[in-house]
Amino acid sequence: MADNMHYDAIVVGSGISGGWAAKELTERGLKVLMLERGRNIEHVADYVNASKESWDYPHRGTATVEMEENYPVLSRDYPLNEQTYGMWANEQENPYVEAKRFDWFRGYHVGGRSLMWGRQSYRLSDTDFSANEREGIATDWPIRYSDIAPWYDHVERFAGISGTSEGLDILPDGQFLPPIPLNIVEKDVAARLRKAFGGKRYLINARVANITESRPEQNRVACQYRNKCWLGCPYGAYFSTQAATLPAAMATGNLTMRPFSIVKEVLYDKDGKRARGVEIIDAETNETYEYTANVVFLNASSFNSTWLLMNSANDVWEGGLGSSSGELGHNVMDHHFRVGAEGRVEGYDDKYYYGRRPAGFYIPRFRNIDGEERPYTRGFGYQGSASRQGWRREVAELNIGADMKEALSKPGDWTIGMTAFGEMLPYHDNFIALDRGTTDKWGLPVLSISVDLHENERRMREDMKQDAVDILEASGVVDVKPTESDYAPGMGIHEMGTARMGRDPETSVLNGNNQVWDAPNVYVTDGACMTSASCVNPSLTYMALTARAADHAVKSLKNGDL
Amino acid sequence: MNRRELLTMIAAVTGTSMMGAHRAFAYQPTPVGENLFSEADAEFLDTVAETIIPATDTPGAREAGVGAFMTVYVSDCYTSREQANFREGMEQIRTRAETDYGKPFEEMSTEERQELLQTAADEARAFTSRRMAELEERREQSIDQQSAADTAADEQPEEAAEPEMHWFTPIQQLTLFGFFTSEVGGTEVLRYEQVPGEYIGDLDYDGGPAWAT
Ligand SMILES: Cc1cc2nc3c(=O)[nH]c(=O)nc-3n(C[C@H](O)[C@H](O)[C@H](O)COP(=O)(O)OP(=O)(O)OC[C@H]3O[C@@H](n4cnc5c(N)ncnc54)[C@H](O)[C@@H]3O)c2cc1C
Ligand code: SF4
Repeated sequence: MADNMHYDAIVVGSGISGGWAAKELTERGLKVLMLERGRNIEHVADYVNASKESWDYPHRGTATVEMEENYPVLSRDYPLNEQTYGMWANEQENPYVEAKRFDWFRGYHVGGRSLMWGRQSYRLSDTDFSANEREGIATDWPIRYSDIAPWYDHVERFAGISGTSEGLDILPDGQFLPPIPLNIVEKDVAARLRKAFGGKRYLINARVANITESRPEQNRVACQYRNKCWLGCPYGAYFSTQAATLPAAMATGNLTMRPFSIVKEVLYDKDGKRARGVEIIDAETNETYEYTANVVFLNASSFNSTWLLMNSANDVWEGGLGSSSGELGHNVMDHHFRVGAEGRVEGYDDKYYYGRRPAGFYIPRFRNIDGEERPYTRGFGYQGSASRQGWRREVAELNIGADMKEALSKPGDWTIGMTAFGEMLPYHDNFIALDRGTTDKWGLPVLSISVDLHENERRMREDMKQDAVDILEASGVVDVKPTESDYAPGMGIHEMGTARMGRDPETSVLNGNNQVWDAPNVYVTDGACMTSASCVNPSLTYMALTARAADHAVKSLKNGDL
Repeated sequence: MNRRELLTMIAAVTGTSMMGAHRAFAYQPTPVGENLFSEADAEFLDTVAETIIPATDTPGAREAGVGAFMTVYVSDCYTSREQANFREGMEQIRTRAETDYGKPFEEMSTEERQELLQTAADEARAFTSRRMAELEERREQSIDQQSAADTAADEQPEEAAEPEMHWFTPIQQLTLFGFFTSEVGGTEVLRYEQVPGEYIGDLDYDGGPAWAT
């Protein structure tokens, strides 16, 4: 096939943010080439596990020893399982160096992690955008909530976020579809919680990118409550590149997608101080190609976009494109989690439910706002749900036989549990760097990752645990127990930072429109750009920032600014 | 919207213009290795499982194929150490049948099998509570030592040796897991709705079976 070698814009990566870049740029009339390092995955047709039941898997969902050997990193947590097998970056072909333990869970294929994500979608608030400045931490965000609010509106309307409007400053409302319902126990706990803390703590419906009303114009059908979203949805009911942004971009006739295309370098024109395009390696043939464009969007996921910058323009800056500030690769953040509480709820034995929800409840941040001062800064929110126990429970004194079978085939007690997601501050000494001595299957240098929790996060974790216990107890839950498992950076799968936005090229990599200071026609709009982490799941913010930046890029092209 | 309309909509997938578009499996089937057990083993395990989950007015473990499932699961998902523990469990049952009842497990009466496995289950329960108490004690000690030495928080307390398991525990656990995740267990003993279509969070409980997942 004769390739066209020049485009108006190139988008690197086809995950959550890349899909948005492609959609917004093509809809504004640009001819776009989307480069994706992995294979293609066709919407619906390739979701081969989407309708399987537990009994259709030889190991009923469990990872085999062989799978664990192939995926030593992934096997550290739940992503390695029989259902999503094949959806994760091959760890042998794509190694990285753990200067300190870092659990990097990657998806290298068309759609990126939009196919496997948890879909929790919350807005950052003004408190988040102004926090660094207020507290003198790291550097100030160059934008405020009001700059991004219309773009949240824009992406929510198209992606389809279900939820409820609550009027909370700390968790701004959005353009919501009807919520995924709470069950009776959650509703009652919510009411008791509100009372117990004088209206200061709230349990609300999770806000998720699952549509609750069908959208024939998008070929998307409302969620059918099967709770199998990470397998690709045959109804297109949850937001993914395949279900939402890619078909919209394709429909313009302006998008060309090239899978198996590892972008290895942004080609930099020293004299024009602009990117000319990119160089790729065809992952299958190992041939290299150059594609040129007027604008380049980096959406390869936080660390990979930064890796790409580090590997570019090395003749001008040893540390790569965007390294002149000394901040490229630094200020890695994740959300630290895996602490919370659980307990039993009495008095609802005559109540049950129907259907399998893809989401439960959310408790927005309540610490360190309204003038409160805990012995740490920032805060955390909780995700959780209540349900009746199934057969996995223990039945006292019954080990074998018909009585145990009978008991286990009936629903058990109502239980409720929740896990906190805490904000991690941006620290200069949490960083990624190129390790030129270690190479991947294609001979490219790999990343070395060095990230630690600091004192602020450790103190916060105390509250994350104790507050969970207090909240459940105050809401009438009994037998409340704190839950805590080891957390290693990366496990939150919300890696952020490494090419932060800022107001000053001396202290940041990107400006307030996500342009690389040193190459204004290069936009980085994935998690790399985050100046601080907030405590809410980040991907909705990447979507909004991407749409905003795409609009800026197209206007700048038209004005002749780029 | 009815089911048919739904399906039509799903089928209407947008075409893509793609360079070098290759088809590749998205979600890959799990590798299934060599089954390390004989058919006789699977038979024997069926009998054990059926004793743990007998047919009543609903099917039991044998009908759910739990024996064969266990052989696949143990072959592919267990480490060699766990496999050895599982084999020891099978051996223990066989030996106890011979020494305590003077015949192979398969030839014992249902009551005798129940008695043998109930004894094993009681031992396993006692063993587990002892282990838990020990681990808890060791954990508390290590916390004390840690705070006393004010050790750096990133220095993990030495990983407690992999908790040993009583030989009956994996057999019992795999029986429950294999049964309730099987089609028979999930649809004829528990309740299952493939495409619920909605969520109702406030339903009067009808006294029937629990949902499968
Ligand atoms: C199990 C799980 C649960 C999650 N839950 C949530 C949640 O509830 N809420 C939330 O907000 N977030 C969640 N996330 C995180 C979310 O998936 C990511 O934040 C999001 O996908 C990031 O989007 P992205 O576009 O930056 O990168 P990705 O979606 O990871 O896509 C990056 C793409 O770029 C490609 N690429 C990489 N390098 C190159 C290169 N050199 N050349 C060409 N292509 C390249 C990759 O192959 C990939 O397709 C979850 C993630 C996982 C795995
Ligand atoms: S729960 Fe809803 S969104 Fe998720 S896979 Fe099922 S139908 Fe699709």
